[in-house]
Amino acid sequence: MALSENHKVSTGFFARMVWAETKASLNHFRILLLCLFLGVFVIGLVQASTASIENGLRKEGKAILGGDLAVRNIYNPLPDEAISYLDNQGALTKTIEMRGLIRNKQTGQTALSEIKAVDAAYPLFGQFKIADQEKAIQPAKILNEKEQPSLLIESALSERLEASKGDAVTIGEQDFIVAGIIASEPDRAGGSTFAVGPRTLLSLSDMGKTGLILEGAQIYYHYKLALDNPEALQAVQQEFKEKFTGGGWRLLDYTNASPTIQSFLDRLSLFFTLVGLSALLIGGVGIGNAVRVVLQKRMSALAVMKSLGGSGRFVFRLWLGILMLTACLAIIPALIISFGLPFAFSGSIQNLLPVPVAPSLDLANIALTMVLGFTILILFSWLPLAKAVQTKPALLLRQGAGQGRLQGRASAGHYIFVTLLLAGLCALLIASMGYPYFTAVFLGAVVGIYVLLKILGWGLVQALSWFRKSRFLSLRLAVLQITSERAQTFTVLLSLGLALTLFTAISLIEYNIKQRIDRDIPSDAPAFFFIDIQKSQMPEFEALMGEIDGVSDFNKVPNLRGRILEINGKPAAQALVDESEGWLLRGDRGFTYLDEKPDYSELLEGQWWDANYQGPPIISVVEDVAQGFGIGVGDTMTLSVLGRDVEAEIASVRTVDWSTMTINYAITFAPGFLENAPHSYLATIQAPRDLETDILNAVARDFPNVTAIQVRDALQTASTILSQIALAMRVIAGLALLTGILVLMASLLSTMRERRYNHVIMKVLGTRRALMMKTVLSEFSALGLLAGIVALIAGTVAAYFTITTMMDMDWRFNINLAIGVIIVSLLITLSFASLALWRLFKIRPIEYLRNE
Amino acid sequence: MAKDPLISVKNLSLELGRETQKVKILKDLSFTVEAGDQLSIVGPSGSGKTSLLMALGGLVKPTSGDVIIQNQSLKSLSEDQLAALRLAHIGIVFQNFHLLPSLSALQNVAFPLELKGDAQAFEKARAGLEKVGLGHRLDHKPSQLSGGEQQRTALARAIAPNPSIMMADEPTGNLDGETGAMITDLMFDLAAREKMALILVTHDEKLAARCARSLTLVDGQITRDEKASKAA
Repeated sequence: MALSENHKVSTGFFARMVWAETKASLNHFRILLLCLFLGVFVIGLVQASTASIENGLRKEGKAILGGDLAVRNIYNPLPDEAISYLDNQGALTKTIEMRGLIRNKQTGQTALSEIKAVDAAYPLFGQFKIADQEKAIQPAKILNEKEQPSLLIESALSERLEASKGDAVTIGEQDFIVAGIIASEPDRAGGSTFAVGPRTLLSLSDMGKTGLILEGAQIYYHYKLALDNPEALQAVQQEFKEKFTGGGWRLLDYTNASPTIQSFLDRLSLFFTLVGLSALLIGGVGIGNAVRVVLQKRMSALAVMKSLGGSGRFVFRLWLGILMLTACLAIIPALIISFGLPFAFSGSIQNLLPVPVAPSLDLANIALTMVLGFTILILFSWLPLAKAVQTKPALLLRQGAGQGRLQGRASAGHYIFVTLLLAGLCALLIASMGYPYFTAVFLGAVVGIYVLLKILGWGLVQALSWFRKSRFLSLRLAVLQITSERAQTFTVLLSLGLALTLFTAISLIEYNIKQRIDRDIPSDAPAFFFIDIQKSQMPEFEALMGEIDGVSDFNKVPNLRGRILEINGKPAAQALVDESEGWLLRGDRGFTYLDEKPDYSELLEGQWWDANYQGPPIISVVEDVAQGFGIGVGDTMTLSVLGRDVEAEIASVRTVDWSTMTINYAITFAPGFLENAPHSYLATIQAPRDLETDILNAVARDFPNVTAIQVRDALQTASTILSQIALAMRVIAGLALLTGILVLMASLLSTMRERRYNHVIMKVLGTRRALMMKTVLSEFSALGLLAGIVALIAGTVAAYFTITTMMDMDWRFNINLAIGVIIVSLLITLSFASLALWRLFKIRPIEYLRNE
Repeated sequence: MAKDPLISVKNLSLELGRETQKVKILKDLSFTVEAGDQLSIVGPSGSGKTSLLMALGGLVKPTSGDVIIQNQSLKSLSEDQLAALRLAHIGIVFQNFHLLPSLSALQNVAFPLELKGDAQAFEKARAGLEKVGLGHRLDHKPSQLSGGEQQRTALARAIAPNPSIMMADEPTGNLDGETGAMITDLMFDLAAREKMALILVTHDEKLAARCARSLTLVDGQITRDEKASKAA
């Protein structure tokens, strides 16, 4: 007799069964639906928001860049032939950007500003608007309206200077009238530098009158081009690169209009996605638990099907179908809401961000989010399902339906499948998220923490087993509950533990960075950085600083800027071996030359040069440079310095303690080569806080071309940005915690039937309320305490690794935070204990015993 | 050559429980059941009646010995092959009915037929329910049916794929006397009409007496195997 294991069931029958069983199981799946919804929603929202900004950057690329393509040169204008080449390709606008101090003539208030001088053609793309005017304008029209030089400022600058339309201000040697407040500047986010101050906009011709255009000053010359033939974008770039080799110019086209923002966005999106993924993983613990509980409840239906001749395969597929259909009820709404939100709120989001937001339905992102949702579902429900299917139908004749645990064993094949699925998920994330190393480390950490929590949970059960014979009845009963086979100890530890681990790690990382910014400023850190001090101004500048009482530790170094072009004759971009040092290639690098080795700097390799060195150019680089390019003493670097390509040999590699905030350069030249090149100086001073405004005003008055950067201000800005990012992270981690709490609730609910039964029996036997309360409170305190401790250990390890290894900073532990984590954990579990007790005390034994 | 028996039990032993606490449930049982036989299995609580029925239905694997159904040794079959064997030859009726709560009466009866891929599953299921007097309750869910109606549905489901053996474990145990009697009549009538072998586990002596043959189990051993003086 041939017995076929695979009955040919019709699709219609299968679909009907899936539908009927899904409907029957749905109310048991509420927690699963919530967990899945939250996880997918968070990831979807991160993906959708990032895509909206990326799409905005792409769509508005020309406006952001200010042209089809843009060439930027530092210190000097481009050579005339290069300018005329660009001019011949289409409409060209020339702008100059630099940092400078601007002073209110009436009040004397001074502020650092990003000054931009534009010509009549500006802007070529996008809309420039000023406050109180709906229509877009060419700023040159307003700037040239009056005889007196005038300028436009951003509202932030207007507030700092306490200056409004019509007020007189000074930049350098020239007085201006504020002609209006800038409402919108299309290419504000373009290029590749981060702004340190609010914008001032004036005309190119007036810029010359300020006296700030000095040799060696950090001035950026921009040439933005609207091509006559937009098709020729690549060809023009190619030709320009070939024709005008050398020089430090940098060429960008509108398809990558804002590389700095793009890269910042990429990283932020990665962080948020990974935190969101953690929420989904915590939800996964809940999903696995929910599936197990539902399968236990539906065990009799499973056994009936098998006793009627349904094969294990049929039952397995049926339940997989049920789970997938159920998951759709969470995943589809989560996708619709998360990807719909940017459309609904694009206006409000736009007001919060300095970059354009253009919501778009990116199918790849939607697919990725959906795949993550379904993969997590399958990952966590596969093994419970495989075990349930192995359950023997004889259960029907022996046990009450729905009472049993999943007694079957999943075969090795199932374990292999789950492992491969996990590996596939990690591979998908590593491939799709960018920053593969970081993503891999993060995923490794999550898996590690998961395993750690499992081991600790197991250890707890083993350790508590010793108390099974305790003299104290309440303790004994609590231990029996925690260590019973049906207890949810692992689930509670995993869900709450993982969520609190995430919270702890984020909080500790933020704490360490903030400590670094807010408090770790060394007592001898400078109060000011002054840039663009001309060589000829140096004696007077030094004298001015000497005259102000309280100013001390005056330091000065030559300051030049340029780019790294080649490493051992190979283009720098190709020579980079450590991507974490990619900053070396972004924007310009500062260079200096020194006789003596600077303070807070230790040689790792090579020798410091003789103070009277005369010879071919040699340099000392910091270890990041050596590591980034995989180079050392004897290798050569070609650098663009003041428009010239200079090949220099590395004479030494050194390490620098940047936390001292003293002047140190990543690339330092030996003397004898750059002295005669036109360059400016950078200087630092120490000063008490109450003197800072006076110093700023004095410098603006006597040295209008010198830019003063207040260290405290700059750090405050960094600290504020960090707080905002940390807040957003915590909101997402909060969702992860919410998921953890949901899982905890589900675990409690799944044990309530047994608890009620035990409670009633104990009550009938004469147990007093106080003892029952002690029992439940001991049980939940133990769980909360352990989840808190485990989260604290795991979160601290994760944060320690991030801070010390990935961020290369000193580690500091926060004891208050540690106590806080454990208290929060206890509060959460004890709230659930109260809930359980409230429900238990409501039971009237007579009703329950009758029903039983 | 003599015809092979429908079921042949050879030296069947069953032990349950974990290694240190193993309990011998069935001890070296041997007997045969012929096509169309009506056999009751009786005995005190814990004597192994239900376990014997489970072993006959391939719901539990014997520790030693074998059950052979229509020349097929159950020992060599996988879980899924056992499921296929039940689908082909055995209908089971449980004390607790065990209808699938998510399905209507009609869908419950059609379930094994659909598993077989029978294109006329619903027509046959409808006819089956009409046979047990439930033609008017086709679309009712189990929760909307009385105990007697549920057991009649279970009966219709057991015979729907036209098995050669019907097994019943205390089929009237959860029913009142009158309903129980009605179900019993129906079961015997259907078994006779469809020429099925009927194997019945029961405490009820009257019910056992309606079977042509009775096996008495005590402590896992057959203490009596007798033909009744009068068949029902």
